[in-house]
Amino acid sequence: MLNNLKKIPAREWAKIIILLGMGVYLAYTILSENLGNYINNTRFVWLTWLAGGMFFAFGLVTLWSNLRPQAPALPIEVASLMPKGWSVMAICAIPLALGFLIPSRPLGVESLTGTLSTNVSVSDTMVITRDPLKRNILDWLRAFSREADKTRFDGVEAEFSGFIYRNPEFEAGQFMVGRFIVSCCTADADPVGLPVYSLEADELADGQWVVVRGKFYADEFRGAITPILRVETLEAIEQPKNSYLYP
Amino acid sequence: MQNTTTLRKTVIWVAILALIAIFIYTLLDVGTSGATVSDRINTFTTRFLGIFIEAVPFLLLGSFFSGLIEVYIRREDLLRMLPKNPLLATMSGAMMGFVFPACECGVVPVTRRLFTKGLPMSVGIAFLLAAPVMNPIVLASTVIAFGWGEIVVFRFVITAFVAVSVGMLFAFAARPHETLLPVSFAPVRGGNFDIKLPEQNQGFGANFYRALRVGSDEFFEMGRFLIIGSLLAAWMQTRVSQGDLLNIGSGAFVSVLVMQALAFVLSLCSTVDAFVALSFLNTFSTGSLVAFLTFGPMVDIKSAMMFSGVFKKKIVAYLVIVPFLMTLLIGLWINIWVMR
Repeated sequence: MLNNLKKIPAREWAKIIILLGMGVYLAYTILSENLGNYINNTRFVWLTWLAGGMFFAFGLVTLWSNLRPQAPALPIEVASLMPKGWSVMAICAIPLALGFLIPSRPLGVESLTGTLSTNVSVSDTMVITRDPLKRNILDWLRAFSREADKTRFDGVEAEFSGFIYRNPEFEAGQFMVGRFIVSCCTADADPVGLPVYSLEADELADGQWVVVRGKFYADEFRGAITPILRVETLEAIEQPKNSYLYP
Repeated sequence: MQNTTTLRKTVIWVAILALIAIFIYTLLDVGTSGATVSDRINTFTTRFLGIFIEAVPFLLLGSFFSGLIEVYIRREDLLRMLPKNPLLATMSGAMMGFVFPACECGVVPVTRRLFTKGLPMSVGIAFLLAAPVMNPIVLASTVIAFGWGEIVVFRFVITAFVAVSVGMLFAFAARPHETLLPVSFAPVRGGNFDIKLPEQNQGFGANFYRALRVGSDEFFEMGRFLIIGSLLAAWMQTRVSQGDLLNIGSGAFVSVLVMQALAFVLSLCSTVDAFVALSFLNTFSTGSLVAFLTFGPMVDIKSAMMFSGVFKKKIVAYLVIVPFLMTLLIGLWINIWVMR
Protein backbone atom coordinates (compact mmCIF):
# COMPACT_ATOMS: atom_id res chain seq x y z
CA MET A 1 0.00 0.00 0.00
CA LEU A 2 2.83 2.39 0.83
CA ASN A 3 4.06 1.91 -2.73
CA ASN A 4 1.00 3.89 -3.71
CA LEU A 5 2.46 6.94 -1.94
CA LYS A 6 4.55 7.65 -5.01
CA LYS A 7 1.53 7.41 -7.27
CA ILE A 8 -0.49 10.10 -5.52
CA PRO A 9 -0.93 13.00 -7.98
CA ALA A 10 0.59 16.34 -7.01
CA ARG A 11 -2.79 18.03 -6.67
CA GLU A 12 -4.00 15.38 -4.23
CA TRP A 13 -0.84 15.97 -2.22
CA ALA A 14 -1.66 19.66 -2.22
CA LYS A 15 -5.14 18.89 -0.79
CA ILE A 16 -3.69 16.60 1.88
CA ILE A 17 -1.06 19.15 2.87
CA ILE A 18 -3.57 22.01 3.03
CA LEU A 19 -6.04 20.00 5.16
CA LEU A 20 -3.44 18.63 7.59
CA GLY A 21 -1.64 22.00 7.59
CA MET A 22 -4.84 23.77 8.63
CA GLY A 23 -5.26 21.26 11.47
CA VAL A 24 -1.69 21.89 12.61
CA TYR A 25 -2.11 25.65 12.27
CA LEU A 26 -5.31 25.77 14.35
CA ALA A 27 -3.85 23.51 17.06
CA TYR A 28 -0.67 25.61 17.14
CA THR A 29 -2.68 28.84 17.35
CA ILE A 30 -4.65 27.55 20.33
CA LEU A 31 -1.64 26.10 22.15
CA SER A 32 0.53 29.18 21.60
CA GLU A 33 -2.30 31.32 23.02
CA ASN A 34 -2.43 33.33 19.80
CA LEU A 35 -6.08 32.43 19.25
CA GLY A 36 -7.04 35.40 21.41
CA ASN A 37 -5.61 37.68 18.70
CA TYR A 38 -8.34 36.53 16.31
CA ILE A 39 -11.49 35.46 18.12
CA ASN A 40 -13.22 35.60 21.47
CA ASN A 41 -11.38 32.55 22.72
CA THR A 42 -13.15 32.36 26.06
CA ARG A 43 -16.35 31.51 24.20
CA PHE A 44 -15.20 29.80 21.03
CA VAL A 45 -12.02 27.86 21.73
CA TRP A 46 -14.05 24.63 21.52
CA LEU A 47 -15.18 25.52 17.98
CA THR A 48 -11.56 25.97 16.94
CA TRP A 49 -10.60 22.60 18.45
CA LEU A 50 -13.51 21.07 16.56
CA ALA A 51 -12.35 22.66 13.29
CA GLY A 52 -8.77 21.48 13.87
CA GLY A 53 -9.99 17.93 14.51
CA MET A 54 -12.16 17.96 11.40
CA PHE A 55 -9.28 19.22 9.26
CA PHE A 56 -7.16 16.32 10.52
CA ALA A 57 -9.99 13.85 9.81
CA PHE A 58 -10.53 15.24 6.31
CA GLY A 59 -6.80 15.24 5.60
CA LEU A 60 -6.29 11.66 6.80
CA VAL A 61 -9.31 10.43 4.86
CA THR A 62 -8.04 12.12 1.70
CA LEU A 63 -4.62 10.53 2.23
CA TRP A 64 -6.19 7.12 2.89
CA SER A 65 -8.44 7.23 -0.14
CA ASN A 66 -5.42 8.01 -2.29
CA LEU A 67 -3.51 5.09 -0.82
CA ARG A 68 -6.44 2.81 -1.64
CA PRO A 69 -7.50 4.12 -5.05
CA GLN A 70 -9.84 1.17 -5.60
CA ALA A 71 -12.16 2.38 -2.85
CA PRO A 72 -15.06 4.42 -4.27
CA ALA A 73 -14.10 8.04 -4.02
CA LEU A 74 -17.12 10.28 -4.33
CA PRO A 75 -16.17 13.68 -5.60
CA ILE A 76 -19.18 15.95 -5.43
CA GLU A 77 -19.32 17.88 -8.65
CA VAL A 78 -20.60 21.23 -7.55
CA ALA A 79 -21.19 23.58 -10.45
CA SER A 80 -18.18 25.82 -10.14
CA LEU A 81 -17.17 29.17 -11.46
CA MET A 82 -13.48 28.69 -11.41
CA PRO A 83 -11.26 26.24 -13.16
CA LYS A 84 -10.80 23.32 -10.79
CA GLY A 85 -7.20 22.79 -10.04
CA TRP A 86 -4.28 24.81 -8.92
CA SER A 87 -6.13 28.11 -8.61
CA VAL A 88 -8.49 26.48 -6.08
CA MET A 89 -5.51 25.07 -4.16
CA ALA A 90 -3.82 28.48 -4.23
CA ILE A 91 -6.90 30.18 -2.77
CA CYS A 92 -7.34 27.52 -0.09
CA ALA A 93 -3.67 27.87 0.88
CA ILE A 94 -4.01 31.63 1.58
CA PRO A 95 -5.03 31.25 5.27
CA LEU A 96 -2.13 28.85 5.85
CA ALA A 97 0.36 31.16 4.16
CA LEU A 98 -0.81 34.25 6.07
CA GLY A 99 -1.08 32.28 9.33
CA PHE A 100 2.43 30.86 9.20
CA LEU A 101 4.32 33.68 7.44
CA ILE A 102 2.92 36.80 9.10
CA PRO A 103 3.73 37.03 12.83
CA SER A 104 0.57 36.82 14.92
CA ARG A 105 -0.37 40.19 16.38
CA PRO A 106 -3.60 41.52 17.88
CA LEU A 107 -5.30 44.65 16.58
CA GLY A 108 -3.70 47.73 18.05
CA VAL A 109 -3.68 51.50 17.80
CA GLU A 110 -2.27 51.24 14.26
CA SER A 111 -5.37 49.27 13.17
CA LEU A 112 -7.78 52.10 13.95
CA THR A 113 -9.61 53.58 10.99
CA GLY A 114 -11.45 56.09 13.14
CA THR A 115 -11.22 57.19 16.72
CA LEU A 116 -11.91 55.48 20.06
CA SER A 117 -15.53 55.44 21.07
CA THR A 118 -16.72 56.15 24.59
CA ASN A 119 -20.14 54.63 23.95
CA VAL A 120 -20.92 51.04 24.82
CA SER A 121 -24.21 49.21 24.73
CA VAL A 122 -25.48 48.32 28.18
CA SER A 123 -28.61 46.49 29.20
CA ASP A 124 -30.81 47.89 31.96
CA THR A 125 -30.54 44.80 34.06
CA MET A 126 -26.77 44.61 34.05
CA VAL A 127 -25.31 45.19 37.50
CA ILE A 128 -21.69 46.20 37.80
CA THR A 129 -20.61 44.67 41.07
CA ARG A 130 -16.90 44.39 40.42
CA ASP A 131 -14.59 46.11 42.89
CA PRO A 132 -13.77 49.57 41.41
CA LEU A 133 -10.03 48.93 41.45
CA LYS A 134 -10.51 45.73 39.43
CA ARG A 135 -12.81 47.22 36.79
CA ASN A 136 -11.61 47.35 33.21
CA ILE A 137 -12.35 50.03 30.61
CA LEU A 138 -15.54 48.31 29.48
CA ASP A 139 -16.87 48.08 33.06
CA TRP A 140 -16.24 51.80 33.58
CA LEU A 141 -17.83 52.83 30.28
CA ARG A 142 -20.90 50.78 31.19
CA ALA A 143 -21.05 52.33 34.63
CA PHE A 144 -20.75 55.84 33.13
CA SER A 145 -23.41 55.27 30.47
CA ARG A 146 -25.94 54.24 33.14
CA GLU A 147 -25.37 57.30 35.32
CA ALA A 148 -26.87 60.61 34.22
CA ASP A 149 -24.91 62.64 36.78
CA LYS A 150 -21.28 62.18 35.73
CA THR A 151 -19.97 64.05 38.77
CA ARG A 152 -21.11 61.06 40.85
CA PHE A 153 -17.72 59.46 40.01
CA ASP A 154 -15.62 62.41 41.22
CA GLY A 155 -12.82 61.22 43.47
CA VAL A 156 -13.43 57.53 42.80
CA GLU A 157 -10.16 55.65 42.53
CA ALA A 158 -9.55 53.37 39.54
CA GLU A 159 -6.82 51.30 37.93
CA PHE A 160 -6.98 49.88 34.40
CA SER A 161 -4.77 49.00 31.46
CA GLY A 162 -4.84 49.58 27.71
CA PHE A 163 -2.94 51.19 24.86
CA ILE A 164 -2.21 54.91 24.55
CA TYR A 165 -4.23 56.72 21.91
CA ARG A 166 -3.71 60.38 21.00
CA ASN A 167 -5.55 62.65 18.67
CA PRO A 168 -4.36 66.03 17.25
CA GLU A 169 -7.29 67.76 18.95
CA PHE A 170 -6.27 66.59 22.44
CA GLU A 171 -4.51 69.08 24.75
CA ALA A 172 -1.02 68.47 26.14
CA GLY A 173 -1.11 65.74 28.77
CA GLN A 174 -4.42 64.42 27.55
CA PHE A 175 -4.77 61.01 25.91
CA MET A 176 -7.04 57.99 25.93
CA VAL A 177 -6.40 54.49 27.20
CA GLY A 178 -8.03 52.11 24.74
CA ARG A 179 -8.99 48.49 24.26
CA PHE A 180 -10.79 46.55 21.55
CA ILE A 181 -14.06 44.87 22.52
CA VAL A 182 -14.53 41.61 20.64
CA SER A 183 -17.75 39.63 20.95
CA CYS A 184 -17.08 36.99 18.28
CA CYS A 185 -14.01 37.71 16.22
CA THR A 186 -11.95 40.62 14.92
CA ALA A 187 -14.69 41.32 12.35
CA ASP A 188 -16.73 42.91 15.13
CA ALA A 189 -13.81 44.51 17.01
CA ASP A 190 -15.03 47.77 18.52
CA PRO A 191 -12.34 50.19 19.76
CA VAL A 192 -13.27 52.01 22.98
CA GLY A 193 -11.32 54.13 25.43
CA LEU A 194 -11.36 56.30 28.55
CA PRO A 195 -9.98 59.85 28.59
CA VAL A 196 -7.00 60.27 30.87
CA TYR A 197 -4.87 63.21 31.99
CA SER A 198 -1.17 62.84 32.81
CA LEU A 199 1.83 64.96 31.82
CA GLU A 200 4.06 61.97 32.51
CA ALA A 201 2.78 60.11 29.46
CA ASP A 202 3.93 62.70 26.92
CA GLU A 203 7.18 60.80 26.38
CA LEU A 204 5.39 57.49 25.73
CA ALA A 205 4.59 56.52 22.15
CA ASP A 206 1.12 55.94 20.74
CA GLY A 207 0.12 52.33 21.13
CA GLN A 208 2.31 51.76 24.21
CA TRP A 209 0.49 49.61 26.77
CA VAL A 210 0.17 51.18 30.22
CA VAL A 211 -1.44 50.58 33.59
CA VAL A 212 -2.83 53.83 34.96
CA ARG A 213 -4.07 54.50 38.47
CA GLY A 214 -5.73 57.66 39.66
CA LYS A 215 -9.03 59.36 40.47
CA PHE A 216 -11.89 60.40 38.22
CA TYR A 217 -13.00 64.03 37.88
CA ALA A 218 -15.84 65.02 35.58
CA ASP A 219 -14.80 67.53 32.94
CA GLU A 220 -15.57 68.45 29.37
CA PHE A 221 -14.37 65.95 26.76
CA ARG A 222 -15.49 66.04 23.11
CA GLY A 223 -18.24 68.45 23.99
CA ALA A 224 -19.77 66.40 26.81
CA ILE A 225 -19.18 66.14 30.53
CA THR A 226 -17.30 62.89 31.08
CA PRO A 227 -15.30 61.44 33.98
CA ILE A 228 -11.60 61.88 33.16
CA LEU A 229 -8.94 59.98 35.06
CA ARG A 230 -6.30 62.17 36.72
CA VAL A 231 -3.33 59.82 36.73
CA GLU A 232 -1.33 59.42 39.94
CA THR A 233 0.81 56.47 38.89
CA LEU A 234 1.51 55.30 35.37
CA GLU A 235 3.47 52.23 34.38
CA ALA A 236 4.46 51.10 30.88
CA ILE A 237 3.80 47.36 30.42
CA GLU A 238 4.19 44.68 27.78
CA GLN A 239 1.10 44.06 25.68
CA PRO A 240 -0.79 41.21 27.42
CA LYS A 241 -1.44 37.87 25.65
CA ASN A 242 -5.21 38.33 25.54
CA SER A 243 -5.47 41.99 24.73
CA TYR A 244 -9.18 42.24 23.84
CA LEU A 245 -12.09 42.68 26.23
CA TYR A 246 -15.03 40.33 25.87
CA PRO A 247 -18.50 41.67 26.61
CA MET B 1 -13.44 29.20 -32.42
CA GLN B 2 -10.32 27.98 -30.64
CA ASN B 3 -8.91 31.50 -30.86
CA THR B 4 -11.94 33.20 -29.34
CA THR B 5 -11.90 30.78 -26.39
CA THR B 6 -8.21 31.41 -25.80
CA LEU B 7 -8.75 35.15 -26.12
CA ARG B 8 -11.63 35.05 -23.64
CA LYS B 9 -9.55 33.06 -21.17
CA THR B 10 -6.67 35.53 -21.50
CA VAL B 11 -8.99 38.49 -20.95
CA ILE B 12 -10.47 36.84 -17.82
CA TRP B 13 -7.03 36.12 -16.39
CA VAL B 14 -5.77 39.63 -17.11
CA ALA B 15 -8.87 41.03 -15.39
CA ILE B 16 -8.37 38.77 -12.35
CA LEU B 17 -4.70 39.74 -12.06
CA ALA B 18 -5.57 43.43 -12.42
CA LEU B 19 -8.16 43.12 -9.62
CA ILE B 20 -5.61 41.37 -7.37
CA ALA B 21 -3.10 44.14 -8.10
CA ILE B 22 -5.66 46.83 -7.22
CA PHE B 23 -6.59 44.89 -4.08
CA ILE B 24 -2.96 44.71 -2.90
CA TYR B 25 -2.15 48.29 -3.91
CA THR B 26 -5.13 49.79 -2.09
CA LEU B 27 -4.42 47.61 0.92
CA LEU B 28 -0.80 48.71 1.23
CA ASP B 29 -1.31 52.36 0.26
CA VAL B 30 -0.94 53.95 3.69
CA GLY B 31 -1.13 57.55 2.44
CA THR B 32 -0.98 60.01 5.31
CA SER B 33 -2.57 57.71 7.90
CA GLY B 34 0.68 57.37 9.87
CA ALA B 35 0.56 53.56 9.78
CA THR B 36 3.41 51.65 8.12
CA VAL B 37 3.05 49.03 5.40
CA SER B 38 3.89 46.28 7.88
CA ASP B 39 1.18 47.61 10.24
CA ARG B 40 -1.28 47.36 7.38
CA ILE B 41 -0.29 43.80 6.56
CA ASN B 42 -0.60 42.82 10.22
CA THR B 43 -3.98 44.47 10.66
CA PHE B 44 -5.30 42.93 7.46
CA THR B 45 -3.99 39.47 8.41
CA THR B 46 -5.45 39.66 11.91
CA ARG B 47 -8.85 40.71 10.58
CA PHE B 48 -8.82 38.09 7.83
CA LEU B 49 -7.76 35.22 10.09
CA GLY B 50 -10.29 36.35 12.70
CA ILE B 51 -13.16 35.99 10.24
CA PHE B 52 -11.74 32.79 8.79
CA ILE B 53 -11.06 31.03 12.11
CA GLU B 54 -14.48 31.96 13.45
CA ALA B 55 -16.22 30.84 10.25
CA VAL B 56 -14.36 27.71 9.24
CA PRO B 57 -15.85 25.34 11.87
CA PHE B 58 -19.29 26.06 10.45
CA LEU B 59 -18.10 25.46 6.90
CA LEU B 60 -16.50 22.17 7.94
CA LEU B 61 -19.66 21.05 9.75
CA GLY B 62 -21.70 21.99 6.68
CA SER B 63 -19.35 20.02 4.45
CA PHE B 64 -19.57 17.01 6.71
CA PHE B 65 -23.39 17.18 6.90
CA SER B 66 -23.45 17.35 3.14
CA GLY B 67 -21.41 14.15 3.08
CA LEU B 68 -23.82 12.48 5.51
CA ILE B 69 -26.79 13.47 3.34
CA GLU B 70 -25.06 12.07 0.29
CA VAL B 71 -24.50 8.77 2.07
CA TYR B 72 -27.58 8.29 4.23
CA ILE B 73 -30.57 10.09 2.75
CA ARG B 74 -32.51 8.71 -0.16
CA ARG B 75 -34.19 11.67 -1.74
CA GLU B 76 -36.87 9.50 -3.35
CA ASP B 77 -38.21 8.62 0.08
CA LEU B 78 -38.34 12.25 1.03
CA LEU B 79 -40.34 13.19 -2.05
CA ARG B 80 -43.00 10.66 -1.16
CA MET B 81 -43.56 12.56 2.07
CA LEU B 82 -44.27 15.91 0.33
CA PRO B 83 -47.85 17.21 0.68
CA LYS B 84 -50.03 17.21 -2.45
CA ASN B 85 -51.32 20.78 -1.95
CA PRO B 86 -48.96 23.14 -3.87
CA LEU B 87 -48.84 25.79 -1.12
CA LEU B 88 -48.18 23.24 1.62
CA ALA B 89 -45.59 21.53 -0.58
CA THR B 90 -43.84 24.84 -1.25
CA MET B 91 -43.85 25.69 2.43
CA SER B 92 -42.35 22.34 3.28
CA GLY B 93 -39.78 23.01 0.54
CA ALA B 94 -38.76 26.14 2.40
CA MET B 95 -38.40 24.07 5.59
CA MET B 96 -36.44 21.25 3.96
CA GLY B 97 -33.17 22.90 4.94
CA PHE B 98 -33.68 21.53 8.43
CA VAL B 99 -33.40 18.05 6.90
CA PHE B 100 -30.71 18.91 4.31
CA PRO B 101 -28.55 21.53 6.01
CA ALA B 102 -26.77 23.26 3.13
CA CYS B 103 -25.37 26.70 2.63
CA GLU B 104 -25.86 28.45 -0.68
CA CYS B 105 -22.98 26.62 -2.33
CA GLY B 106 -24.23 23.17 -1.42
CA VAL B 107 -27.91 23.80 -2.06
CA VAL B 108 -27.61 24.28 -5.83
CA PRO B 109 -26.48 20.77 -6.77
CA VAL B 110 -28.89 19.24 -4.25
CA THR B 111 -31.77 21.17 -5.84
CA ARG B 112 -30.72 20.20 -9.33
CA ARG B 113 -30.57 16.60 -8.21
CA LEU B 114 -34.06 16.89 -6.72
CA PHE B 115 -35.39 18.37 -9.99
CA THR B 116 -34.09 15.37 -11.92
CA LYS B 117 -36.12 13.22 -9.51
CA GLY B 118 -39.27 15.14 -10.44
CA LEU B 119 -39.50 17.60 -7.56
CA PRO B 120 -42.10 20.31 -8.38
CA MET B 121 -40.60 23.64 -9.51
CA SER B 122 -42.16 25.65 -6.71
CA VAL B 123 -40.85 23.31 -3.99
CA GLY B 124 -37.36 23.28 -5.49
CA ILE B 125 -37.22 27.08 -5.80
CA ALA B 126 -38.43 27.56 -2.23
CA PHE B 127 -35.81 25.09 -1.04
CA LEU B 128 -33.09 26.74 -3.14
CA LEU B 129 -33.80 30.18 -1.70
CA ALA B 130 -34.65 29.23 1.88
CA ALA B 131 -32.31 26.36 2.76
CA PRO B 132 -29.17 28.52 3.07
CA VAL B 133 -30.87 30.26 6.02
CA MET B 134 -33.52 27.81 7.18
CA ASN B 135 -31.20 25.20 8.63
CA PRO B 136 -29.89 24.31 12.09
CA ILE B 137 -26.30 25.44 11.45
CA VAL B 138 -27.26 28.95 10.35
CA LEU B 139 -29.77 29.16 13.18
CA ALA B 140 -26.94 28.33 15.61
CA SER B 141 -24.45 30.77 14.10
CA THR B 142 -27.01 33.60 13.95
CA VAL B 143 -27.98 33.03 17.59
CA ILE B 144 -24.31 32.89 18.63
CA ALA B 145 -23.64 36.16 16.82
CA PHE B 146 -26.74 38.19 17.72
CA GLY B 147 -28.34 36.31 20.61
CA TRP B 148 -32.06 35.51 20.62
CA GLY B 149 -33.85 38.60 19.44
CA GLU B 150 -35.48 40.49 16.63
CA ILE B 151 -32.62 39.94 14.15
CA VAL B 152 -32.94 36.15 14.40
CA VAL B 153 -36.74 36.25 14.12
CA PHE B 154 -36.69 38.71 11.18
CA ARG B 155 -34.06 36.66 9.39
CA PHE B 156 -35.99 33.39 9.52
CA VAL B 157 -39.53 34.70 9.02
CA ILE B 158 -38.60 36.95 6.09
CA THR B 159 -36.51 34.29 4.36
CA ALA B 160 -39.39 31.81 4.59
CA PHE B 161 -41.85 34.43 3.35
CA VAL B 162 -39.75 35.47 0.34
CA ALA B 163 -38.83 31.89 -0.58
CA VAL B 164 -42.43 30.64 -0.44
CA SER B 165 -43.67 33.69 -2.40
CA VAL B 166 -41.12 33.25 -5.18
CA GLY B 167 -41.79 29.50 -5.18
CA MET B 168 -45.54 30.03 -5.57
CA LEU B 169 -44.87 32.42 -8.46
CA PHE B 170 -43.29 29.48 -10.24
CA ALA B 171 -46.08 27.11 -9.23
CA PHE B 172 -48.57 29.17 -11.23
CA ALA B 173 -46.44 30.74 -13.93
CA ALA B 174 -43.86 28.25 -15.08
CA ARG B 175 -43.40 24.78 -16.47
CA PRO B 176 -40.18 22.83 -16.03
CA HIS B 177 -39.23 22.77 -19.70
CA GLU B 178 -39.56 26.57 -19.86
CA THR B 179 -37.39 27.19 -16.82
CA LEU B 180 -34.80 24.47 -16.47
CA LEU B 181 -31.81 23.79 -18.65
CA PRO B 182 -32.00 20.39 -20.36
CA VAL B 183 -29.15 19.18 -18.16
CA SER B 184 -31.33 19.60 -15.08
CA PHE B 185 -33.94 17.28 -16.57
CA ALA B 186 -31.84 14.34 -17.59
CA PRO B 187 -29.81 12.60 -14.94
CA VAL B 188 -26.57 14.50 -14.67
CA ARG B 189 -23.80 12.68 -16.44
CA GLY B 190 -20.24 12.47 -15.32
CA GLY B 191 -20.99 13.57 -11.76
CA ASN B 192 -21.30 11.33 -8.77
CA PHE B 193 -25.05 11.15 -9.29
CA ASP B 194 -24.76 8.28 -11.78
CA ILE B 195 -22.39 6.22 -9.74
CA LYS B 196 -23.86 3.05 -8.29
CA LEU B 197 -22.17 2.26 -5.03
CA PRO B 198 -20.81 -1.23 -4.46
CA GLU B 199 -23.02 -3.20 -2.11
CA GLN B 200 -20.23 -4.26 0.22
CA ASN B 201 -19.61 -0.66 1.31
CA GLN B 202 -22.77 -0.12 3.30
CA GLY B 203 -21.51 -0.64 6.86
CA PHE B 204 -21.41 2.21 9.36
CA GLY B 205 -17.65 2.59 9.13
CA ALA B 206 -17.65 2.65 5.34
CA ASN B 207 -20.51 5.13 5.23
CA PHE B 208 -18.81 7.40 7.73
CA TYR B 209 -15.60 7.22 5.76
CA ARG B 210 -17.44 8.16 2.56
CA ALA B 211 -19.20 11.04 4.30
CA LEU B 212 -15.80 12.39 5.37
CA ARG B 213 -14.47 11.89 1.85
CA VAL B 214 -17.34 13.87 0.32
CA GLY B 215 -17.00 16.45 3.08
CA SER B 216 -13.33 17.08 2.38
CA ASP B 217 -14.09 17.68 -1.30
CA GLU B 218 -16.92 19.98 -0.28
CA PHE B 219 -14.44 21.98 1.77
CA PHE B 220 -12.41 22.79 -1.33
CA GLU B 221 -15.57 23.52 -3.33
CA MET B 222 -16.94 25.99 -0.82
CA GLY B 223 -13.89 27.01 1.19
CA ARG B 224 -12.48 29.10 -1.64
CA PHE B 225 -15.63 31.25 -1.70
CA LEU B 226 -15.36 31.72 2.04
CA ILE B 227 -11.67 32.66 1.77
CA ILE B 228 -12.25 35.17 -1.04
CA GLY B 229 -15.21 36.62 0.89
CA SER B 230 -13.13 36.92 4.07
CA LEU B 231 -10.30 38.58 2.15
CA LEU B 232 -12.71 41.17 0.73
CA ALA B 233 -14.37 41.73 4.11
CA ALA B 234 -10.99 42.15 5.83
CA TRP B 235 -9.90 44.55 3.08
CA MET B 236 -13.06 46.62 3.60
CA GLN B 237 -12.53 46.75 7.34
CA THR B 238 -8.88 47.70 7.00
CA ARG B 239 -9.58 50.43 4.46
CA VAL B 240 -12.97 51.90 5.29
CA SER B 241 -13.47 53.81 8.51
CA GLN B 242 -16.54 53.19 10.62
CA GLY B 243 -17.32 56.89 10.35
CA ASP B 244 -17.56 56.72 6.56
CA LEU B 245 -19.85 53.71 6.84
CA LEU B 246 -21.99 55.50 9.38
CA ASN B 247 -22.49 58.35 6.95
CA ILE B 248 -23.87 55.99 4.32
CA GLY B 249 -25.53 53.70 6.79
CA SER B 250 -27.84 56.24 8.35
CA GLY B 251 -30.36 56.63 5.52
CA ALA B 252 -33.38 54.34 5.80
CA PHE B 253 -33.42 53.58 2.06
CA VAL B 254 -29.78 53.90 1.04
CA SER B 255 -28.54 51.80 3.95
CA VAL B 256 -30.64 48.85 2.79
CA LEU B 257 -29.31 49.19 -0.77
CA VAL B 258 -25.72 49.44 0.47
CA MET B 259 -26.02 46.32 2.61
CA GLN B 260 -27.70 44.40 -0.21
CA ALA B 261 -24.91 45.38 -2.58
CA LEU B 262 -22.38 44.35 0.05
CA ALA B 263 -24.09 40.97 0.53
CA PHE B 264 -24.12 40.41 -3.22
CA VAL B 265 -20.47 41.35 -3.70
CA LEU B 266 -19.00 39.69 -0.62
CA SER B 267 -20.76 36.38 -1.41
CA LEU B 268 -20.25 35.17 2.14
CA CYS B 269 -21.30 31.68 3.06
CA SER B 270 -24.63 31.85 4.86
CA THR B 271 -23.27 29.81 7.76
CA VAL B 272 -20.95 32.65 8.69
CA ASP B 273 -22.41 35.88 7.33
CA ALA B 274 -23.98 36.59 10.73
CA PHE B 275 -20.53 37.23 12.17
CA VAL B 276 -19.74 39.68 9.40
CA ALA B 277 -23.10 41.40 9.81
CA LEU B 278 -22.35 41.73 13.52
CA SER B 279 -19.50 44.10 12.71
CA PHE B 280 -22.04 46.46 11.14
CA LEU B 281 -24.45 46.27 14.06
CA ASN B 282 -23.65 49.68 15.47
CA THR B 283 -23.21 51.49 12.17
CA PHE B 284 -26.09 50.22 10.02
CA SER B 285 -29.85 50.26 10.45
CA THR B 286 -31.70 47.12 11.55
CA GLY B 287 -33.62 46.96 8.25
CA SER B 288 -30.39 46.99 6.27
CA LEU B 289 -28.83 44.27 8.46
CA VAL B 290 -31.93 42.12 7.98
CA ALA B 291 -31.74 42.71 4.21
CA PHE B 292 -28.07 41.68 4.31
CA LEU B 293 -28.90 38.51 6.25
CA THR B 294 -31.87 37.52 4.07
CA PHE B 295 -30.90 38.65 0.55
CA GLY B 296 -27.24 37.56 0.78
CA PRO B 297 -27.90 33.86 1.42
CA MET B 298 -30.53 33.71 -1.34
CA VAL B 299 -28.60 35.56 -4.02
CA ASP B 300 -25.01 36.64 -4.36
CA ILE B 301 -22.38 36.64 -7.09
CA LYS B 302 -21.41 33.03 -6.72
CA SER B 303 -24.90 31.59 -6.24
CA ALA B 304 -26.27 33.62 -9.17
CA MET B 305 -23.54 32.11 -11.35
CA MET B 306 -24.37 28.67 -10.03
CA PHE B 307 -28.08 29.20 -10.77
CA SER B 308 -27.17 29.63 -14.41
CA GLY B 309 -25.96 26.04 -14.39
CA VAL B 310 -29.51 24.92 -13.54
CA PHE B 311 -31.99 27.45 -14.94
CA LYS B 312 -32.47 29.33 -18.19
CA LYS B 313 -31.09 32.90 -18.24
CA LYS B 314 -34.47 34.63 -17.93
CA ILE B 315 -35.31 32.57 -14.85
CA VAL B 316 -31.91 33.35 -13.29
CA ALA B 317 -32.75 37.04 -13.74
CA TYR B 318 -36.12 36.56 -11.97
CA LEU B 319 -34.42 34.64 -9.18
CA VAL B 320 -32.06 37.56 -8.61
CA ILE B 321 -34.45 40.48 -9.11
CA VAL B 322 -37.55 39.29 -7.24
CA PRO B 323 -35.76 38.45 -3.94
CA PHE B 324 -33.78 41.70 -4.31
CA LEU B 325 -36.91 43.84 -4.58
CA MET B 326 -38.74 41.94 -1.84
CA THR B 327 -35.92 42.19 0.70
CA LEU B 328 -35.40 45.85 -0.25
CA LEU B 329 -39.04 46.67 0.49
CA ILE B 330 -39.05 44.62 3.69
CA GLY B 331 -35.83 46.26 4.88
CA LEU B 332 -37.32 49.67 4.19
CA TRP B 333 -40.52 48.70 6.00
CA ILE B 334 -38.51 47.60 9.06
CA ASN B 335 -36.48 50.82 9.04
CA ILE B 336 -39.46 53.14 8.75
CA TRP B 337 -42.32 51.42 10.55
CA VAL B 338 -40.98 48.70 12.82
CA MET B 339 -37.76 49.94 14.38
CA ARG B 340 -38.46 53.48 15.60
